[in-house]
Formats: sequence, C-alpha cells, structure tokens
Amino acid sequence: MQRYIIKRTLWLIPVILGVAVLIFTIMFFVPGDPASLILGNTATQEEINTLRDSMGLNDPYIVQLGRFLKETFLEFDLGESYVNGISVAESLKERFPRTALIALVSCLIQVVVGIPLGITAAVHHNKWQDRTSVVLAMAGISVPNFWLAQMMVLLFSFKLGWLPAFGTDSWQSYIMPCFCAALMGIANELRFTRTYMLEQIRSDYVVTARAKGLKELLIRYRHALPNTLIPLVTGIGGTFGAALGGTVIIENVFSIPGVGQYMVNAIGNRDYPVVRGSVVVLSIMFCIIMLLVDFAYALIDPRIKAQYSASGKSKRKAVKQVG
Amino acid sequence: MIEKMNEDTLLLKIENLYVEYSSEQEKVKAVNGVSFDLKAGQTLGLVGETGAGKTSIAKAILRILPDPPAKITSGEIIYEGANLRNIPEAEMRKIRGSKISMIFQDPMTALNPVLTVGFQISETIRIHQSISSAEAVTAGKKMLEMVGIPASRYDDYPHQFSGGMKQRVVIAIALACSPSLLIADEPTTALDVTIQAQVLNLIHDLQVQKQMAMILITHDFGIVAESCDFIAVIYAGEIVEKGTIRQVFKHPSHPYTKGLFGAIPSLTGSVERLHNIEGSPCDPTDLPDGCKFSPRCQYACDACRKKGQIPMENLGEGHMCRCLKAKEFYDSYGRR
Repeated sequence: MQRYIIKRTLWLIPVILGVAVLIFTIMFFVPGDPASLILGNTATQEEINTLRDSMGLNDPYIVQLGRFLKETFLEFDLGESYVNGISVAESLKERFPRTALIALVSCLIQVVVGIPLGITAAVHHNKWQDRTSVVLAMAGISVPNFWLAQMMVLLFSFKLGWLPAFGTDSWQSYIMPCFCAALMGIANELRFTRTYMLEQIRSDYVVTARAKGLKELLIRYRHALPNTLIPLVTGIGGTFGAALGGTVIIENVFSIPGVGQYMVNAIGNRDYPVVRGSVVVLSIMFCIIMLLVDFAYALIDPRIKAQYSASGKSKRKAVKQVG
Repeated sequence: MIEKMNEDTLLLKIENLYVEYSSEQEKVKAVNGVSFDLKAGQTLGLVGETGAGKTSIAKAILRILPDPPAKITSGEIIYEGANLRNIPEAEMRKIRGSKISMIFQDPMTALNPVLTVGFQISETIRIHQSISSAEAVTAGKKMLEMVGIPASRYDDYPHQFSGGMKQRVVIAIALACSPSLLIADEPTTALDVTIQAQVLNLIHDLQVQKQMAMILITHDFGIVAESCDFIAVIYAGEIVEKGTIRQVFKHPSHPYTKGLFGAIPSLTGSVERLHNIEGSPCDPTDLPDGCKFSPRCQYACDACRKKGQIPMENLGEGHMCRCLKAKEFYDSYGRR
C-alpha cells in the first residue's frame, strides 16, 4: 500500500507539468495581445511593441515557456496580474476559500440528499417513491442554474427578504449559491445511486443475504450500499474537483469574487500569469482529490486494496488459493 | 414439537404450488402445480432442464422470489405444520438461514465481495442465535474448519479464494445454524469435476452429521443417483415423474425421463451419437394444453393434447408418473 501511495504521488509530477505546458501553449497561441488590451485602442504600434518587450512577450515560445516553468516550479512564483499588478498567489489565496466553501458545501448537499434519495428510489423500484425521485432528478438536470439562481434571488431576497442577494458578507450569503450549485449534482447523484443500487440489490449475494434471514435494512446498508459506493466515490471526487474550479455562473449571479470569475475575466483580458497560475494551482488540487479518491477505493473494496499491496503477504495468500 | 421431529412426520409438504413471473407483456408460468413431501433426513433430487422451474420452487419455499416480477399464485408450503405462505415476514426471517437454508448455484457471485468470509458466516449465526460477537466469531471459525478451510482465513475476502473454496464458504453459511432442511441449488454446476465430488461428499457428510433433509436441485443424474433417496423429474414447471431412486432409475415411465436417460453417454456401449429429445423446451409464456411434453413426444396422441392437466398415475409404492400411457411404458420399457 505504501509503495502504491508513493508511486501514485510521484505520478502527479509529470501530470502537473503536462498541464502547465499545455495551458501555457494554449494561451500562447490563442489570438489576442495583452499589451494592446492594456494600452487600449488609442495606443500606437510602437507603444505596444515597447510594452511587449518589457513584458517579455516578444521572446521565442521556448524561452517564455522555460521562464514560466522555472518561475512556477522552482521559484514558486506565480507572477502578477498584467491588469492590476496584484500577485496571483495573493489573489488566489483571497478568492479560493470562497470557491472551496461553495464547492464543499454543495458537494455535501449532493451526497446527503442525492444518495439517500437514490437508495430510496432503487429499493422502491417502479413504485411512487421511485417515480417521484426520477421526475425530481429530471427536473434538477433540466433547470438551468442561472435561471434557478435568479428565481431564488427574486423569491428569497426581493419578495421575502430572507437572504442577501449577493456578496460574501455573512454566512447567509452562501446559502443560495451553495444550493444552486448543488442542484444539478443532487440530480446526478440520485440517478447514479439509483442505477448502481438497482444493480446491486438484484445481485446474487443479496439473495444470499436474504436467504440468511437478514432484515431488509441490513441487506441494504451493510451488503448492497458498500458495493455501490465504489463508482459513486469517483463521481463525487470528480464533481468536487470540478467545483473547486469555480462555478462561473453562480459566482456571477451572486457576485461572489471566487476563482471561477477570476479565471474567466483573466482569459478575456489575456492575463497570462493569472490564467496559468490558477490552472496550475487548480490542477494540483484536482490531482490530489483524485488521488484521495483512489485511496478511498482501497478502503471500500478489498479487491482493489489487494491489487495495490502486491507485497509478500498477498503473494503467500495467492499460493494458498490454489488449494 | 417432539413428534414433529420424529422420522415419520413430514418436514416439508408442498401442495399444488404455482409460481408466475409477470411482466407487462406476458406471464411466464414457471411452476405449475408442483406437489411433493419430505421427511427429516431424506434427500429429494429435483431434476430438470434449465428453465424447468427448479430454482423457482426452491426460492418459493424460502419466499425469496424476486417480487415483482415473481409471485406464488397458489398452493401450500407446509413446513413443520405451518404454511410458510401465510406466516408474517418477521417469522419467515427467523426460518430463513436457521431452519431452512439454501446453497446457491454460483459461488463466484453468491458472496459479498466487500465483506470477509468469516463475517458472512458468523453474521448468520449472530442474527439467529443470541450470542456475543466473540462467540459468533468462534462459531464462524468452527464452521470454516468444518468445511475444510483453515480458521486462519476467517478474515480473508472472497476474492482470495478459489471457486471450490468459495462454494465451501457458501455451504458453511448455509449450515451455520444447523438447519433441518437444506436446499442445494445446483451446488456443483459451477465447479469442475474433481471439486464437484469433494463438495458433494462434504454436503453428504454434513447431512448425516446434522440429520438434515435436503432438496438437491441438479440436472445431473449421476449426482442424483449418488446422493438422493427420492427423485422428482420436472418439465415445464410440472413434476412429470417421481419416486425412489430405484423406482425411477429402474423403470423410467415418462417419455421425458426416458429421453433424459437416453441422453446419458454410456461407458460400455459404442454409440456414435447420443440420443436426444426432439424439439426444444416449450415456451413458458405459451404452454401447450394437456401434457406439456406432448409436442416433443413421439407417443403423443389426441388424448394427451386435451385441455387440463394430465393426472399423476400411481405405478405402485409411490412411484408416480404424469403420463396417460405410464402403465404401458412401465411394463414394456424397463431400463437394463
């Protein structure tokens, strides 16, 4: 197991380097020039060229790439924004907690609401509980969240005055964003759980458990659920990782200065250091989460754990197995 | 209670059992009026082709048919004097696993992959007997050793075992509470021949040890001849012939039974091709009138195709055959 953890952790290095090179290359070749965007329409070609020179944008691709990689991975310096000169690391430090909070809470909501609903739907397959859940899931997937966000603002902020419509001043401001961000996830989680659970409760080992005289609840939660968790954990990890990148729509509707907004604005401004820095940081986060997901598998499923720990112990068992 | 445990009292009596699987389009009649009974310690072999309804009968006894789509439409399952169809689910749970238990066909999928085999064995003991978890673990280890697996493997997971060993674990689960009736649903089909013999011997030894009655579901006559007292041949959800092993093997009287015997390769004769039964098993959604076997039977006449179930004919001493010409076949076609 330890060897596996070390191996997997080392694998992160090429992945993150690859992401860094890729995002640099994409931004390099995307049309648009930060210098002319900074100087505006009235700038002369000469002015633009001078600025490009001072920003190092006239250097060849390979030189710029080398500089970027060196600064990022050897000096741990993400640079400063072209637009306002504020350090990217500082901005991320300030914005990331907000996005992470929304990501975390919305994922929790998804898990806490989606999985139990999915289980209910599966164990009452084709009964009203199932049909209601399926209709809810359909609705959850179909409702665009910018529309839902606006409707919620209309209702809870303007009509009822319960919650602030925007900003990040108090914990109440996070309620609507978290819920909006969670909605589609709830629907997805419900559908996945239902599908996997249906598969499991029809499987042979569940019949065995029933033939033992176990109560339905034990069959569901002790026998079937752990088997459905394996695919679910992947999904949740992926959703959470993606949510860390920020939900642009949610952040815009509720005016939350988060990572999503930061990156989208930076892309519009060709603010290379911001885009690259954010992408590198987020990709590291994402990789770590997926790594944790992989380790979680081993905790849930002994078969996967056995694959990971190809140490002397399991080999001895493999020999015994032949008997 | 004491009289009931007596050798002569019936342990299980099944009367006119019907099981249907219904979907929106069609009804599959899986079991059609099956009746048999079993005394303590006896072994009944249920023989028939795939899809004949053998497993449905077994699951109906334990009330673990997948509902929907399956349903017991009529009939009685009397176990120790009580009709299992009428008792509440909570009572039924107490019977399952402790008094009647079942060995499943495919050991590869019958065990939960994420729980240790030891836990899966002691779980049964724990829910049926009021003992501490430490005692349950001890009992579980004892069961493992009884089926020939070292107790040190208690904490191993199913994927660490071979197929034959998994089947032993399944057997250990089924026998953990010393049931009075064991239903073995093709316990050896998924195993190779040498392991088959081991597993059958194991079941047989344990059966003698624990005085269990057993229903052995199989499509292998060899297994039936070795391990059963009685045999019931099933075709399209009906018992077409039943009797003691001796009766049926000596005087197979139903054309279907005869056909099955004819399909067994002989070690002595030099036969180029095995005899086969013409046609294919009938469509359970659209069963023929009268004798279900009539479309494939070379002796079938108009009387066989008349509406209604063909009655069981008693050929003497409990040898029953569901064929209008049973007497004729009994006399003229003795085997060997």
